[in-house]
Amino acid sequence: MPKILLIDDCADDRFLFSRSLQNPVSVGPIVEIEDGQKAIEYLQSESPPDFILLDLKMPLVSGFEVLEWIQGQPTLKGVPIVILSSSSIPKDIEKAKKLGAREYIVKEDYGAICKALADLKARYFGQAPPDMG
Amino acid sequence: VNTPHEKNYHSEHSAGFMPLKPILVADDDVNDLDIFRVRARKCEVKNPLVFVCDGDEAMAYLRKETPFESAETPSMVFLDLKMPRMGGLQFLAWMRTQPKPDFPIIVFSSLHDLNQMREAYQMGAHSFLLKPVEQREFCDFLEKFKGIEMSRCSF
Repeated sequence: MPKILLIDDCADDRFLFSRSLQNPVSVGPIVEIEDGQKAIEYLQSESPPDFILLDLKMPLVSGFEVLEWIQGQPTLKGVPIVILSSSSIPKDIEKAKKLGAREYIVKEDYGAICKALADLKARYFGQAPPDMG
Repeated sequence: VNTPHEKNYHSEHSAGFMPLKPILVADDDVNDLDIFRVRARKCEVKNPLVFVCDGDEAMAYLRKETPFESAETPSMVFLDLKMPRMGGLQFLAWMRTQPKPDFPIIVFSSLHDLNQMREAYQMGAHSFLLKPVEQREFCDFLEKFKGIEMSRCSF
C-alpha cells in the first residue's frame, strides 16, 4: 500500500484531506505532519513516501522551502508532490511547479477540495496508476 | 498515522451468492432522491432502493415499525444531514444507542460545515458522498462496497 505524506499546519485541512483520501476506502497509511521542519526531519529519517501532499504557507519552514529541500534529495526523485494551497496567485503556482510540484490544487470550498482529492485518488491510485517515478 | 477504518464493508469480489439487501436513502429533498435514482439506474444497481424523507422514518424503517413491518436490513444507508424532524446527526446519535450495525452509514450531503462532518464521523459515519454527485463518482463509490450488485457503466 502506498504511503502518503500530508503536510499542512491546519488541523481542519488535515482532517478533510485525509478523510477524502480514505473515502470510502483507504489508499494506504497517511502520515500527517504539521510543519515543514518536521516534514524534512521525517523525510530524512523514514523510508520515502509514495506521494506527498503539501501546503505552502506554514510557520517556520514553508512549503516552498520543503520543495527546494526535496529537489536536492536523490532518494525522493520522482515522488509525486501535489500542492494544496489557499493561494491562487499565479506567481505561487508557477514557483511551486518550477520547484517540482506536479499538481496544484487551490483550497476553495470544502466540497471542491474533496472532489479534487477524489479525482487525484482515482488518477494516482485508481485502476491504472501512472508511473510513480 | 491514520489507519484505515472499518474495512470490512468493502467488496472483495467474492463469488458466493449474497441476497441483495436494499439501499436505504434518507433525504428530504426530492431532487436529490431523483438524482440518486437516476445515478443508480445508470449503473444498473440491482439492490432495491428504499427512500425515506428524514431520520425519523429511517429509524422507523430500521425498527420495522409501521409501515415498514417487512423491512429488510439495508446493505448501506445514505444519510442527508439537514432534514426536518430528525436530522442526520440526530439519527447517528440514535444509532449509537443501538447495537453496532453491520452496514455502513454514508453521509450524503453537500459540505458547508466541516464541523458537521467531523461530528458525523465521531458518531459513526463510515464515509461520505458529496452532492451534487456525478455519475462516475457515484459508480466509483458504490462499487467499493460489498453486497452491492451493479454493472460498471459506460459514460
